[in-house]
Amino acid sequence: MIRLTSALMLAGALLTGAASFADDSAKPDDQIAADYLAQYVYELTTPMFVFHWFSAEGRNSIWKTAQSYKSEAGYDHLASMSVHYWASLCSKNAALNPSDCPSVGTEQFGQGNMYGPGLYAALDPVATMDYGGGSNGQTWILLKIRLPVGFRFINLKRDGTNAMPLRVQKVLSAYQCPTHWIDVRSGLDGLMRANNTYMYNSAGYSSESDVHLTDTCLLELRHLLKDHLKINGLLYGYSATSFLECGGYSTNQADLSGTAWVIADSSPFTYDDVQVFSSNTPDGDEERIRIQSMFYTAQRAQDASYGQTPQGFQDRKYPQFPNYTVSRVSSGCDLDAISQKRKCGVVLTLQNSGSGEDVTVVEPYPSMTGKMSDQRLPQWFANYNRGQALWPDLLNNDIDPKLTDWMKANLVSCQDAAPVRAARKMD
Amino acid sequence: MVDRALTRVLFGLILLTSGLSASAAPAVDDKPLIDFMDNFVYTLTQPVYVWKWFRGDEAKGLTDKISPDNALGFAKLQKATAEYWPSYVVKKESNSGYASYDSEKPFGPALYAAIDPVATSGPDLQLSSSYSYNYSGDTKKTDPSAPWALMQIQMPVGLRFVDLNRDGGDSLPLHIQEILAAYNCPTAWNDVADGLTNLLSANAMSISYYRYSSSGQSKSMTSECIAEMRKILKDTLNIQAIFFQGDSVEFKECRLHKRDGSEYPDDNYNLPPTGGNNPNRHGRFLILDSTPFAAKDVRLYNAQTTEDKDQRLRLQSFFYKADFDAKSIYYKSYLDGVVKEKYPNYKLQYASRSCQSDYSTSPATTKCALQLNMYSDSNGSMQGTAPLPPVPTEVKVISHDQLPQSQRNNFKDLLWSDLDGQAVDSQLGDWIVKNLFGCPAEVEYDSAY
Repeated sequence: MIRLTSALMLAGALLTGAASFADDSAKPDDQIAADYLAQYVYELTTPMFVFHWFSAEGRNSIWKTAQSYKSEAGYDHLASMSVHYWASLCSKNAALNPSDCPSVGTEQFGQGNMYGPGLYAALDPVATMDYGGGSNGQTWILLKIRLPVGFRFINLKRDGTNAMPLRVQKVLSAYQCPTHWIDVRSGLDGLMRANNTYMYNSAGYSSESDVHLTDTCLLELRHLLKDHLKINGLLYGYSATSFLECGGYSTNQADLSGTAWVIADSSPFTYDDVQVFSSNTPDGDEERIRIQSMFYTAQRAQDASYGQTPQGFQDRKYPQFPNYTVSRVSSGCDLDAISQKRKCGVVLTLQNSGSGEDVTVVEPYPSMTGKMSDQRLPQWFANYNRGQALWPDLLNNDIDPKLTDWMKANLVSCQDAAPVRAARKMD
Repeated sequence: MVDRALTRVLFGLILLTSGLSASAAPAVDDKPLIDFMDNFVYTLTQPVYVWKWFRGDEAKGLTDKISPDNALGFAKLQKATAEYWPSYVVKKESNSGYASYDSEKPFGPALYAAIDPVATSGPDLQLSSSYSYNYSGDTKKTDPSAPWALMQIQMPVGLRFVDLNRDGGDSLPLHIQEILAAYNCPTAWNDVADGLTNLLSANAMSISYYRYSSSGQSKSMTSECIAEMRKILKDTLNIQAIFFQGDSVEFKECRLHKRDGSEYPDDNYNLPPTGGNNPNRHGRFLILDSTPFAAKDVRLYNAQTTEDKDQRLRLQSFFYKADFDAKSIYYKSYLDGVVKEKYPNYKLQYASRSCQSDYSTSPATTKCALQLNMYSDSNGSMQGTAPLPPVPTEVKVISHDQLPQSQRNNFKDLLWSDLDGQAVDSQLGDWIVKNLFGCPAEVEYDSAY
């Protein structure tokens, strides 16, 4: 093993200034890096829904026409966006590229994406609605995407700041990767920002430190992520709605809450996995009611975060605590001292009228009820979609009474147990 | 491979839940766990020096004149390290459940050593490189006249260690968490953050009553878990030392840019550093095993030592250099003086730098001052200001009359009176670069894999 390390260092030393390796036999062995990183690849065990907004402005006119929510245009958009992820990790020098890179140079796909091009998707439809352009009066499009079982990903929120082991750093250094990306402080997150268009300009120079990303490093990262790890996407820390029905952010070992996704590969998806909505969508009433209902419940979450207490619990009685009365009502979570499990919902503090002793009871947060109306729209909707609901034709329908069940079954941020497992090794 | 391992884990879990005795070893393949931890074992590729001070009670038996090559030094290292693995068990006391956590020995009994001779010479040092000082809390004082002894240890090439400073915050992969669960390890270990620290400091877990996870869940150490950790750390990975978070002096030769070649233009002496803090310089070593050491690797000194004059000169010079290089030591003294003079009824709680830029000039000019947050029992909180500290003066001659700030509160005089009037070791910087952990330009350790 010492000989291997020496060989890597020698290879790295020989490479100074070189754009790439003379041939494959000269490439340092990257299996050490691949084996280490593979331990942090996950796959979904349950399908989960995520949401992607974009504006129809400047795009194909199809997006401004009425089309079914089952239109294949949704899948096609996902496929056309996600393919950019791997393309952006190709060299501008086509001669250096593997055969699955675009034939003409490296494409550029917009600016401002921290983890490079790809299809970015939020854990709920509320968190990223501004990306639809509705605030500017633009025609918004919303994709509802089902991430399939087996979807492979890395979780930068959970594992992104891990220090790379020294021997993994050495492999990446031998591939001329900038040390500040792989140092103790940036780890995996540093790697995954390799093709970001936020901090790095089109020439591959960082605006912060003038570090140049070599083709050798770029192509090795692509090889590691695409060929060794075979990831379909990644997860990174981002804001998401803290639905009260979900007990706030769940905490579990997989640390999936408070994140957003970058989908880098359309191959795990089918046409059925992507639904497409706009203000012109004529069908899919059940789906549209569910989506619109999430906005009403999101407002309730915001109210709670500003200290508004749940109503209707102050006079609640508990036969098992006959001499206790409700002394405090709040939204939140409580750790059960016996089961050591965290329960979230409406937290009631009961006080014994004689001894003054306190008991805590946690009730599930009640589902939101009533009709959908413009008056009940969230305050922040006033500037969106011209102040109207996403779909005015749905007004006066009931807020989805089964929304809580649906969210608990289908949203990553609503899970009690993580819907993931360590990924199977694929090579 | 992973699939097979997971199958074994699940099989192990089924066995455990079906009534297998708690004391029996779980039927779990721990190879993935070993392979994972193997990533984080390092070996020294060049010798480096560390130091252990003995003060007060600890210095009993060390007050007579000591020759540096006295066998007592090596014997003390052997005795201290011999305590570590026997302590690596679940510790229960009859009355209070578990033994209490000892902040002086956070990883259990062994030999704790600093990576420079100044850092642990007394508790009343402020070694932070920033302007942000927190003066709250009790500071344990050293009696400056208390006897002292100093052990200097040369850690040999090949010493195997883990670096919690570097790797301790790493999350544990899911399949590793599942294996740990099968060994009945504390659920707190399944925290995302500090996973590796939890693994590698299992002994600390065993001597604390509870460690709380961020979700509030907790579980005490179990015998199955600590037996597995002991097997891996001691028998399989042969860990001989742990590097963990602690204070050390930021000698200018050891700034990060000296090591990785990066540029930090603000690294001068009347501005606080804006970068370049070297993570390798923020820690201490816990030595668990004396077998890699020879008697010649350990030198012992006290105030009566007369031999080894060059080395004693170097040790005394460390304090003068620490004053000049580790600005915080100098600044603390400066701030204490400002508060005493300008705000005599207040105690300094916190100081921070505040700057304002004037863009009407070309180039823009920036003026900085210190903002002082103070408190008095009778008057409450108050804010004040002070000019930035002046550039410290480099002292060239060792003198009774000019004790270094870094030494003044913890020693009543020079370490050795025969050094009075001698020149401060002008070659100390070169020696530091070659011999202190975290300072050599070529990183002094490598993966042990």
